[in-house]
Amino acid sequence: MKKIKQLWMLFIVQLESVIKLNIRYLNSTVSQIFLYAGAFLIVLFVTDTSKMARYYNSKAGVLVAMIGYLFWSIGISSFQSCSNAVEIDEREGTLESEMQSAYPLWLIYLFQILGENIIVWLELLVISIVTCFLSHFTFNDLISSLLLTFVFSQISNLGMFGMGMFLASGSIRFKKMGQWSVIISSLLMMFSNVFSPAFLGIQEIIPYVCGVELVRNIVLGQGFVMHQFLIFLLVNAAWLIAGIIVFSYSIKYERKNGSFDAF
Amino acid sequence: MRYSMAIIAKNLSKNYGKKQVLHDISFEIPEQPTIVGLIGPNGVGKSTMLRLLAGVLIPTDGEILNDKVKETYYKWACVHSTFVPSGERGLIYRLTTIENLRYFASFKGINLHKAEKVLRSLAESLDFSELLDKKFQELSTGQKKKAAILVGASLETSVLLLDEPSNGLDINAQDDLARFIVKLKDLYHKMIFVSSHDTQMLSGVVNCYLFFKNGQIVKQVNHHFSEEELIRTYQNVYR
Repeated sequence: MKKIKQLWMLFIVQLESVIKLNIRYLNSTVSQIFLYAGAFLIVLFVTDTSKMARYYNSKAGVLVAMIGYLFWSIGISSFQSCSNAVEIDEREGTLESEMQSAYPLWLIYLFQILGENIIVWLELLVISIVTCFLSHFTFNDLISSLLLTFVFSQISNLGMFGMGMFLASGSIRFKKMGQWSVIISSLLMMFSNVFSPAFLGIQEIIPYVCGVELVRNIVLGQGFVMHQFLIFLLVNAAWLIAGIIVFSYSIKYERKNGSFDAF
Repeated sequence: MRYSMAIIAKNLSKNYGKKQVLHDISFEIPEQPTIVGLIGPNGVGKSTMLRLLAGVLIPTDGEILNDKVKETYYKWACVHSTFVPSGERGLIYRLTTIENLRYFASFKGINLHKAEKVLRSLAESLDFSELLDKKFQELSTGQKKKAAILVGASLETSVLLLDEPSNGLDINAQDDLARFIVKLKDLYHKMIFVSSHDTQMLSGVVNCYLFFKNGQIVKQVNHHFSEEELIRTYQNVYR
C-alpha cells in the first residue's frame, strides 16, 4: 500500500511539473498548439478522403482520417518525448539525480510522458471542439470519436513509448539524436494507416495501426474485431517490453563504461 | 571499535571507454557522522569517485560495499545517497527550489511535506529563505549552488556527496556553507563527502582526507587538519 501511495505521488509530482513547465515555456506550448491546429485543419479541409470513404463504405471519410491523425499525433508525442527528455536532462545535469531514485528511470519517463499526453489531449480536445463549428460534423460525432480515440490511444501510447525508448537509448549513448525522431515520425505517417486504410498485415507492427482500425470500425458502426484487439494488445506490449529492456541495458552500459557528465 | 556500518572500496577501477580514470583504489569509511574531503588537482578522478559512491556510475573493476546491506552497493546508494554536481547544474531551470525539491524527493519515495519542512529549516542557515520560491534560472551563480546543496541536503539521505560546493560562493557564503556542512553532519547524522580545492573550507570541516593522484589514493588522513597543515601536506603530496 505504501509503495502504491509513493508511486501515485511520483506520478502527481511529474504531472504537476509537466503542467508548470508547459505554462512557463509558453512560447513552445503555443507553437505546439498552432502545429496541431494547422495539421488538424489540413485533415479537415484539404486532404482528399474519398478513398477512405470508399474503403469504409461511409460518407465520413474526413472523420476516419481525423481518427488516424489523432492516433498518430498523440503517438509521436510519446515517441519523441522520450529522447527529448533524456537530452534535456543530460544538458541540465538532472539525469544523474534522476538515476538516484528508488524507481527505474524508464518509469519516471513513462510518468512524465503520461503527463505530457494529458496536456496534448487537452490541446487536441480544444482544437477539435473549435473546428467542429467549422466542419459538417455534429458535436456528438466528434466527441464520441475523440473519447474512443483517447481510450484506445492509451494502449498504443505505451507501444509508442517503448519505440521512443529505443531512440532514448541512442540519446544516452550518442548524446544527441538530431532529427531521427522527426524522420521516423514522418515515415510512420507514410507507412501507417493515418490517411489511408491499413492495407498490409505488416503495418500492424506499428503500435497504433490496429487501434486506428478498431476505433474507425466502432465509430462507423461496423463492430468490434476481437482478434484485432488482441493483436493490438500484443504488439504494444512487445514494443513496451522491448523498449524498456533496451533502454535499461543502455543505462547500465553507460553506468559501467561511460559518463553522464559529458554532453 | 565496531561501527554500525562502513562503506568499503576494494581495488576499485573506473574507465571511461579506453581511458582509465581511477585504478586500484581501496579505502574504508565507517558510516558515522563524518565529513570526508576528496583532495587533489583537477582531473585526478575526484568527481568520478563521488559518482561511484552515489551509485550513478558502476566500477569497471573492483567493488564498493556497504557491509551491512545485502543488495548491490549502487542500488543501495541510489536511494540512500544524494549527489550534488558541480557548477550550475543539477536542478530544473524553470522550477523553483521548492518545486525542484518536490520533484527529486518523489524519486526517493520521501514524504514531500516533511522534506519541504526540512528545506525551509535548512534554508535559514544559508540565508536562502526568501529565494525558495524563485525559479532556479533566475538565481545568481552562488545562489544556484546554494539551491542545489539545499535540495540535496533536504532529501535526508544518509550519504551526501558534494562536488566543489564552494565554487561560485562569496567569502561570507563560503563561511556559511562550512558551518552548514558541519550542522548537517551533527544534526542530521550525515556522512558527507566533499570534493573541493578550497583549503579554508576543507580544513574547517573535514575530519578524514583522501588525497588523489593519478587516479589513485596516495594518502588517507583520519584526523582534522589546520589550514596550514593541509596546505603543507598538499604541497608534499603533489610536489
